[in-house]
Amino acid sequence: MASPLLSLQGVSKSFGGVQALSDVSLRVYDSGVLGIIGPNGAGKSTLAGIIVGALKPDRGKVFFRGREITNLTVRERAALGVAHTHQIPRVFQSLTVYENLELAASRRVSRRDLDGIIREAAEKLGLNGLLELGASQLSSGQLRLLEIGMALLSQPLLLVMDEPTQGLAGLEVNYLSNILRSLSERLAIILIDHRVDFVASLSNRVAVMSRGRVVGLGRIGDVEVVEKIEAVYMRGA
Amino acid sequence: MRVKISALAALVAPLALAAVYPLLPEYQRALMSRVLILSIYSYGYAVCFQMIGLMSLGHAALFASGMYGAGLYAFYVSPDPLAALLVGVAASTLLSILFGLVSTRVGGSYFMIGTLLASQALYLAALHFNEVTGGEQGLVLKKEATIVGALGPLLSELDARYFTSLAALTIVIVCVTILSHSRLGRLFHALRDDEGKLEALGYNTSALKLVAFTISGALSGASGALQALLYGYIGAGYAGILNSVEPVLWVLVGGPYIQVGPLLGCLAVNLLSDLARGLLRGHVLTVGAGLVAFAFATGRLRWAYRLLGVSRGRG
Amino acid sequence: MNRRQALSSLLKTGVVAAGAAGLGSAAGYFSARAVGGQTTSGLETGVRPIKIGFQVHRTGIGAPYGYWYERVANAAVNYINKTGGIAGRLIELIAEDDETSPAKGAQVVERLVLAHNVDFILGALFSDVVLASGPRAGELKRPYFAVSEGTHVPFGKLNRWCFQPGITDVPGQVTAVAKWIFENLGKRVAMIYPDYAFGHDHRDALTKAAERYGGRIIEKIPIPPGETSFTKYFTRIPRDIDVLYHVMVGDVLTFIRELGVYLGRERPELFGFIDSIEAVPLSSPGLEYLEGTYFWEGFPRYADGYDTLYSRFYREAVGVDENGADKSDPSRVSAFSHMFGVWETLFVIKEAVEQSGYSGQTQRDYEAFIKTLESMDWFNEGLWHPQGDKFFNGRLHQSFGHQFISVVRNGRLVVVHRTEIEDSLYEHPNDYTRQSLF
Repeated sequence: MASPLLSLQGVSKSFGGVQALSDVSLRVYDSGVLGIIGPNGAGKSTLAGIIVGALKPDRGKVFFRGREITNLTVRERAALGVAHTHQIPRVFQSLTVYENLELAASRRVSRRDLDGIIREAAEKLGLNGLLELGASQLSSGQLRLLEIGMALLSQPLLLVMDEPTQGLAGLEVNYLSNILRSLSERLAIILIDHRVDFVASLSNRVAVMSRGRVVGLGRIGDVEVVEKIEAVYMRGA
Repeated sequence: MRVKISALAALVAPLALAAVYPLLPEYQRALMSRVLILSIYSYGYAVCFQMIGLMSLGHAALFASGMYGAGLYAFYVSPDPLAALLVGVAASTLLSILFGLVSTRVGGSYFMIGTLLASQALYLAALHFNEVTGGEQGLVLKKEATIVGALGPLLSELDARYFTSLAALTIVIVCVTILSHSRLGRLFHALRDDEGKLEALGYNTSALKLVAFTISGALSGASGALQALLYGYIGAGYAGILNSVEPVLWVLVGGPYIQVGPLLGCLAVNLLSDLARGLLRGHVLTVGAGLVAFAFATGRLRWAYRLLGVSRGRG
Repeated sequence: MNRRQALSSLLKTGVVAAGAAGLGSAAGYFSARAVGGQTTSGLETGVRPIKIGFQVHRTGIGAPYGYWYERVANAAVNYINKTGGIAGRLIELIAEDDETSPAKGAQVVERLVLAHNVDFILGALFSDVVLASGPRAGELKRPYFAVSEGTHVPFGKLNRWCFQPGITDVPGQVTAVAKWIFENLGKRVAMIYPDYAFGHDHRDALTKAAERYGGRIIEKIPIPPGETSFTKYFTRIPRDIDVLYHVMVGDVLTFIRELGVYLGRERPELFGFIDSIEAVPLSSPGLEYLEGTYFWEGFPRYADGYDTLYSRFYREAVGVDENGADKSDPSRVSAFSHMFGVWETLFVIKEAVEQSGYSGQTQRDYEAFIKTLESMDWFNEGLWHPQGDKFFNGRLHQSFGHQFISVVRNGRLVVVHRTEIEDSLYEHPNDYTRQSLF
């Protein structure tokens, strides 16, 4: 296979003596979904923070498209094509849906094409009826979609999603699954979620995390991976 | 289109102010002229406070830099009010860039303390170099160096002050309206809502804050420069802490709408404190703080609370 | 100029007659109070009062002075109104707080003129307020009377509508006391002063006076404003000086305590300006070190310092006891060295109105008022001028008077010298009379 889009080499991170990540190495390729599962406190969110640049590792290195980005800020990584969404969606409350999308897109898209691209993305996400609405008026499901829309319009190569199903109802989860599935053909997604079924249904590969370590990595059908998942969740419970 | 409608709506206030002038008694004309100049300062402060959610405690320095730039130019270099006005605005713009480079890198309470300290430094410098600045006593400009002097053949002093400040205020209101509807304005609002998120979208938020702070400082300085050139007096008193606190009260009283809030708040605090002079011993601070306390008690300050709470940044 | 010459010029201007009238009516004033508040009226009824606007430091940093200024103004107006008013008209005093702020001060001037339509404005003490207010008064064509000691009026920074006849200015005061210092305490002087305009006025005046009287300023130690501790500056005080001259550098209690610790018993003579302990009781803890040191006083705080019929009358009228404190609250020390200026200024207005025939706010009446005032040379000592006689320079719009030098003895101020008016005179090219009035 070609060289990886993102690779982590021996990354460790601790917070005040608590080891959140120890010696994690991962590779992510140009498309497809890498699912990350594990119980609370396994280090999933810390890993997401290290990848997007919100946290700096104590040891180890992060590479993106072959270039070391360990010490780059969130903004610098965003410029290289790393986007992310949050557990609780973060959008600009005082702007409309359209203005939110516009802000996200306008660093990449020429002014001429901007409107078309925004409307196209809104259409895909089912936000097209809401464009003139203030973001503060959206439901939590709509907010989630808006945040994803913003991430996509920044035209990333890698999208890191932290708990995207949180606060969503069953139907909305299905809707989100469909969207992510079509997206994953075009870009790499790192999907962190506590819903094993959701992650399993979307991921080409999963990493199983426990106590700051990746304890299993492989295709979701692999017997070894399934065993690890079971072991981790049993122990977690 | 929306921009045009808003800009037109913003002109209602200046038109009303022009229309009411003939009805005002003389003292109220003089009083209103002072308040209109201060309203420009209020708008300047609001660009920082309302647009990007940063509470500065040092804007007096920016006001004073405009005042000193204009006043010292008119006093020492040339009695040309227009050139002096430009020098004043340039001085405050430069100073806000300097202030901004340091203080916009930090958020919340550090920003407040940083701006406070920086403005105290300017205040002490104005006192120290009193051979030039006139220090706390100040300097009196010659009449021909003032706008009132230049307009002397055409307008009485009262009229000249009122309409000069009203014209300047109108320009400022239109500019602020256009700004708040522009792409830059939306970026400012986004920055205020969630700085970390904006960073994550690849925007340089420090640079954005610096731009907003500089616009804010330039407007505050324009107010100071006009003050110097309309009243012919410059003094270190204007660089003091009180002059930093007053605009905070105005924008809090004026409410969240940046097109009219800074004007309404400045009018309310200053006119009420003038009315209350005999009763409350007339401190603008007493009246302003009273109004702010009232707004707080009746839940009318949530917008500001939210604005500052969010501005500390999460990312 | 000696006293006799002064008297002869007084006779010419007729001020003596006015002073005598003042004494006569003073007797009436006391007897009226004695019989239960009946006033010796004799005022024309139905005549518009003369409105005097009063810009007061009721709040802000100047409030301790403002309190006494207002008290003195009320006392003087009360007395004038009970003894015939001004040219038969009552005074209506309209006081407005300027918050000791230049911006508010200028606003107060506008309010007094445009809203209250006052005839004259009794102005402020703090120089920044005076400097911001004077131009407004000139523009609105109302005579403005500062009671400030600042150099803004005499040095021509203001305009023809601004006067300071009721109090002497800093250069005048310093010039007068410097002569005595160099002649009596020693020629080698170090000075310690606040590093802003007020301190610089002292520095410049003392430096000039040193040239004139053969003194030497060995060291000048400016203290930045806002300083809270002073010891680090004391290291610059040279060992071989005769006198350390100090003025208003910050918190006086700290300053004196630290100075005492630093200099100890082997100190040079100390000469200070009362401004730093004005309205401060000498019994305040920390001021013990001042024992045996000298002060300039504008008007002696303790009654025996300048015990005249007039000063006793004035003290009684403003309600101040023998020790310079509030009669009803002995811990409240007055601003005695400055506040007499308010009293005297009101009488200057009275004199100028009565001599000029000013009756209403016409151009002609104001022109007559101002030119009459500018032509006055002397204010005679009397009930109207209890601090002493004054020479008035009509070109500078500034009075020159006697100064007092006192020593702290047994925790009170004892006058050791009263300077002559000639000692305080200086030259300045300013001439307001060349400016047009309208």
